[in-house]
Amino acid sequence: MTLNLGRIVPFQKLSGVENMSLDQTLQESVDRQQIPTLRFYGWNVPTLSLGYFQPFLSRRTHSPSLLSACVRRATGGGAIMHHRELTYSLVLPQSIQMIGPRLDLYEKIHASLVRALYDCGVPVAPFRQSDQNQCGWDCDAFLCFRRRTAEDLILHGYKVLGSAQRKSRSSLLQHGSLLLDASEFAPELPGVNDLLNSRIQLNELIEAITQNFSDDLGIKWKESSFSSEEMTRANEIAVDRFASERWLCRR
Amino acid sequence: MTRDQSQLLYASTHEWADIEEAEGAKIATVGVSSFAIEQLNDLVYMDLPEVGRVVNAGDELGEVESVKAVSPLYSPVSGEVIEVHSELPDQLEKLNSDPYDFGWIVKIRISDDAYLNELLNFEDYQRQCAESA
Repeated sequence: MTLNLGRIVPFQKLSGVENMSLDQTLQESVDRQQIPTLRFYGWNVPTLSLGYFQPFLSRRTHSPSLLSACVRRATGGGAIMHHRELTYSLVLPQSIQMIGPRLDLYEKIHASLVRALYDCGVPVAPFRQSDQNQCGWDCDAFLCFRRRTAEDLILHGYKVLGSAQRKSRSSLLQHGSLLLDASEFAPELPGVNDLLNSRIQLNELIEAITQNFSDDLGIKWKESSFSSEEMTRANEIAVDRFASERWLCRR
Repeated sequence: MTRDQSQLLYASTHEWADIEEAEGAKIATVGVSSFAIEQLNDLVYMDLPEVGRVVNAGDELGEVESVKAVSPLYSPVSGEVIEVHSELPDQLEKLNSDPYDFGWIVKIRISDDAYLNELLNFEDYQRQCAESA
């Protein structure tokens, strides 16, 4: 198979506003340059992210996270309490034929994640293959990790990884969260370390996921940090969108 | 009324436009094709533009959410939004079953019809869908 050249951005821990602004910046870069891009990141402030269509006031229904920072994502789904987690974001250009129907791609990306997690000692399975009598799920729940869809990744009855997407004219962004440890802002959601009573090695996991995306999507990754133009654009996006009260409270 | 799909024009981004003449102006009724609705899968939310908004062909008209994905809707024509199907966001299940009649999204008074030549006829749109399926 001929490999497409892709870009991988080094891991950083940033705020919710910075993370969401940088994901949008990357999608804009992919729209222009048509280079598949992968990024792993963490959160330096515990942050609740609302799904694009969720009403801001719905956060009142979840008291443990009321005092956390809050940002509205540009992607769909339910609210996520980002605290002790690994987040990935993958942007694929339309020009690459791998993109296909978006749900096929969603399934394909999660299959890569399942194998990487399995190789790192975390035996997750998609919800569609799991025992569906599981711990406290509710399809209308405020928190994404209490909802279930077919490709959500489940460990010991708990959802530990979920993803969301945003399409643009010429690319598809998919980002997702792997819960590592429960947060005091969402204590009902255990992470993989809690469920396995061990500690996953993050560097090893990032390497395994990167390799699987390379094998399964036909991409050879080359490391590249954000350019100064991209940082400027991310700041503009933050001011216009993710840091603004108008955006946060738009629903 | 049953809209004839073979008489509509299509954007490559999967919006359809039904062009009619009314009081000396061209009015486009705009919706999303059944192919796109099937690909999007289970729409749960939709945002519509406000009446009076002026759009260029290719501008974002609104957004939809379906199983965790947010996708933009693009305007296939340039002009002013003169009517919005405000009942639609609350009855998205009907969009799945009836995308060409109940599922209309907006009506736009066309300001510049040059771009209409860029839209695809039914046969070309079908071909595009077959290639991307």
